[in-house]
Amino acid sequence: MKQKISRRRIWIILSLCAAAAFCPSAAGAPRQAATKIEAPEAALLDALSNIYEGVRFDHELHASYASCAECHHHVAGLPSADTACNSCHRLGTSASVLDCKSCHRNDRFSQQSLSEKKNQTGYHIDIIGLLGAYHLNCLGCHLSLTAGPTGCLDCHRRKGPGPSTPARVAGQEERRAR
Amino acid sequence: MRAKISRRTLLKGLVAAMASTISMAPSRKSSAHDFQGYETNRGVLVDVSRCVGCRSCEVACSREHGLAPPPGLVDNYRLLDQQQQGMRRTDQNAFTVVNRHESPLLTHPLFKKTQCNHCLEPACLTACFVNAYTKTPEGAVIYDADVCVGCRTCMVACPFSIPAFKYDSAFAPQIMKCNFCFDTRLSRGRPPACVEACPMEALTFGYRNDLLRVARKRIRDTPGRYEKAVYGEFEAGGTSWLYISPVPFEQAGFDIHVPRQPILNYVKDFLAVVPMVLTIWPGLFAGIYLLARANKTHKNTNDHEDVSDETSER
Ligand code: SF4
Ligand code: SF4
Repeated sequence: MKQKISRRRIWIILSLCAAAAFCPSAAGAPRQAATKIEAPEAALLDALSNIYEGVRFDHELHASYASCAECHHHVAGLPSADTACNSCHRLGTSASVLDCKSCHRNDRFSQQSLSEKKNQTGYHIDIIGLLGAYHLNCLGCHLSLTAGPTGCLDCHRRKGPGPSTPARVAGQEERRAR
Repeated sequence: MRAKISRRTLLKGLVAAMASTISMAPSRKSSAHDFQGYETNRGVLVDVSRCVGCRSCEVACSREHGLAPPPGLVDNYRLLDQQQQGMRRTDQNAFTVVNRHESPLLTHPLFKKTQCNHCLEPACLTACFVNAYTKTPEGAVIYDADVCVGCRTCMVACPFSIPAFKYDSAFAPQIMKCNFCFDTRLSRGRPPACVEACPMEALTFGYRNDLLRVARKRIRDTPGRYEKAVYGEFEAGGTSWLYISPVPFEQAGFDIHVPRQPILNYVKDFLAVVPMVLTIWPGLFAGIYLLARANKTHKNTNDHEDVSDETSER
């Protein structure tokens, strides 16, 4: 629970930082239509910062190649293009939620999420976690378009020399398990 | 003369009794053929289409169980293509291995993780005559080295060729295999180390019954992405680890000839005879031996030459 709060806080701080840092440039860009929600120009994904450099995700760059809905399922205020979502969520408020982590949880293995998963009866019995959502989305696109980095260390640059990857990855795994 | 007749009758009787026991045994109907597993049976759903062969799961496993780090581990999973030579099997240093498979239907390779499938009715457990194996209500098939006599029957019995033998310790027999991280994690309701390490979420932990629904949902919701079957739902009588694959299972390195019935059903009839062999046979053969001896002594009293022969032989 403690971890969850701290991570959430980190996220908030990060996004505020990003917003603060890139606000002037974003405001100056003429293609930012008034109806659009302010999108962060970049995000720093640094949950593995004890082993790897944070991954800087260039949001603006990706927004220039792909439509928002290709990654976000839907854009703010508009219902999803996916008819499967629309049958329930057309009139709901979930269309206004855009950030990945509000649906794709990063505490998949907490006692709470594990017990919630038991005997679910609703439609969403298989929502992927944040870790998987990132990797599947990024790698899926990069592999199918044969563009962009696809190797582990292409994105996760190691922090200086040290023990070989196995020990380091496993160290991370242990840290998370605690 | 009288004694001879009674011996013959006795033998006849014994043979008839034995024959009837043997003929009775196979006709007994198996009562557990539709066992669906414990309600509390956990499992892992492996989505072969998601795995990228990074082998983080192997690393996490070797750390969890204090084994040697996996050999040839590379930083970039793409390099696995060139590095990997042939199919690896689980062994005493690796409870799980990831192998690369090529399918003619895909332009990219597939990766399949192999480990103990924690069968609902495990063949290894059935085969073990000292009961070194236990199927826990959580679904794990665990092994007790203290009981094991090192006969390695379980290695032969397992339809997935999972148990390995620790050959380097001749006096402390030990079978090495995945235990679903039972002691350290599963018994406390936590997922095994490999599942937590997988960055692609190719491994999903949960109750087996829930996972079957998840697997079917994935197959239904993304038409064309998966083969319309869940490997492990019926194989070997059902396994805790379940798999969905984008190509026919044999192309992704699965053994599709594993029987759908639990292996137990094939050996049950044979095993039913074992107690008979252990209880009736000693008496039977001891009886035959004693009768044969009695016959001999009876003869000996009539024929003194035989006695001198026998004593000279001794
Ligand atoms: S996969 Fe093999 S070792 Fe594992 S439970 Fe089944 S029979 Fe036993
Ligand atoms: S950690 Fe996941 S993606 Fe990596 S090899 Fe294992 S199952 Fe595949």
